[in-house]
Amino acid sequence: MSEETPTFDLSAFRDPALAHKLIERISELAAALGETERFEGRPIKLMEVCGTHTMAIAKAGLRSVMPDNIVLSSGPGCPVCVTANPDIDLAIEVAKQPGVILTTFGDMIKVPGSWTSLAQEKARGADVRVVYSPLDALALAADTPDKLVVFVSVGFETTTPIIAASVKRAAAAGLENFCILAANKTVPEALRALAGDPEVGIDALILPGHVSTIIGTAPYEFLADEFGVPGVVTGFEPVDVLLGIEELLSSLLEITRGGSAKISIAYERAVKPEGNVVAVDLMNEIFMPCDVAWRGLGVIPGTGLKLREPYGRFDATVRVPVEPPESRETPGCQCGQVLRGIIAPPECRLFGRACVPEHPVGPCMVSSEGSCAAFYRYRSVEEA
Amino acid sequence: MCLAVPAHITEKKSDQKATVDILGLTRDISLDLLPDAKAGDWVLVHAGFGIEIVDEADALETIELIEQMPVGFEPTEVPEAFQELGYEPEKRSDYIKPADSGKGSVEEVGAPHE
Repeated sequence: MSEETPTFDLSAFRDPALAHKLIERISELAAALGETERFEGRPIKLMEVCGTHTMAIAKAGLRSVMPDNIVLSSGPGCPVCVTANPDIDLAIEVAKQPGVILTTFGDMIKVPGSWTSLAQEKARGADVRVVYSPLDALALAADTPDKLVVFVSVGFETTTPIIAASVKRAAAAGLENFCILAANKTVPEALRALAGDPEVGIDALILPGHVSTIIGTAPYEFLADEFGVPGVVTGFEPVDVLLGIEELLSSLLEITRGGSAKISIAYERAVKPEGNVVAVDLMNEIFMPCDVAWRGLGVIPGTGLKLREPYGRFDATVRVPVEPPESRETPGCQCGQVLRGIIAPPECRLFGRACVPEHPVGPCMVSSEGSCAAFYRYRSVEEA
Repeated sequence: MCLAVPAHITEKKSDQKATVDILGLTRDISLDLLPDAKAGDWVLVHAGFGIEIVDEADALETIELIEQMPVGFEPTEVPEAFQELGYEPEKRSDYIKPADSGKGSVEEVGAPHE
């Protein structure tokens, strides 16, 4: 390791003095909001919809420094957690086919489907391999021409352009033994479902950091225009998250004084209003929207993605036709309500009892970005 | 999971590949999504691809924005963890100054204000 390795200094974003200042600002704003007609006597609900925010908030213990009338709610921000059982069951069934090497990101491995998990089937002899990048799956396909390499493609817009680039490379290389199970989803229309749901009751949205790096802010404008819900694109260091919360409360106060809701960026160093146009174009070149079922939210039209016709041969459901066993919802599992932010993880009957990371009942407890995993891992010492 | 630590491009290679240094480790990544990135740029890396160039000037601006925010309250009781880090609320106004060369560290500038 060289002594002169340059570093991008992010320490200011962990500075306790800046954090304390933002916490004080948040307290002031929360107190002022609590005196308005709209928010008097009720909590103000801020929702994040990004698994990395879920973890960042839990890890920094931010809930413990929030004023009493601010609720930080966790929504469907974990792409693995919102993958419905039938899609997981399909991946598992494909993995069991002879001649198939199933490749996946690590956090899918232990997620329970209706009956089993990829990890369990790997233990029973299925060829399941964790990869860091879909490019690894491409390389594997090139190295093992007698096998069919299937990549389980799960993720939001941060990941989808990466899959698109990989499929495009596979096509250019004439790689015929590579294909994907396309389970990627898009975020903005899911936010529409949440913003319009009175049971969820969102006042403001902490918008995802890196999804927004890709798509920019235009896809979120409808939240402000149609629902009066402000949104702030927020980063992941403690000061970043506090800044996002401060800006949201500032926005809400302005709204109570007659102002209008806005979408803004508090994560300027990584997000431009126009996003990454190259990435979006690539995503649209390879994929097209379709309808898909989200765990907990049902079918949200246009939030799924499927391969466009020129790339149809990379669709694993065509290459490996299988009939998975009938899917079921795991009895007692309340992941659906957790994902909609209706209940917090500790309010699930199974949390910390039947459902813990070592033997999870649902994906929220086992995914590296799952709400239940975040609450469980960073629970306070007294609760342990 | 989104890794938010910027990687430093040390070399741009053919076929939109690049070598990056991230926290002292050397990795190869694809710049398919960032065709204009060049050696010396800082980039966010996700699943083997650069997804955006990270701007140090923007980082500084964000810190300055926070430092210039007014706060009306008297300092509230400082949590123990902050005390252990040597944070003294009486000197808080000393922290409110423009960022110095992006280091972000808090420095005393003199006697505390009344």
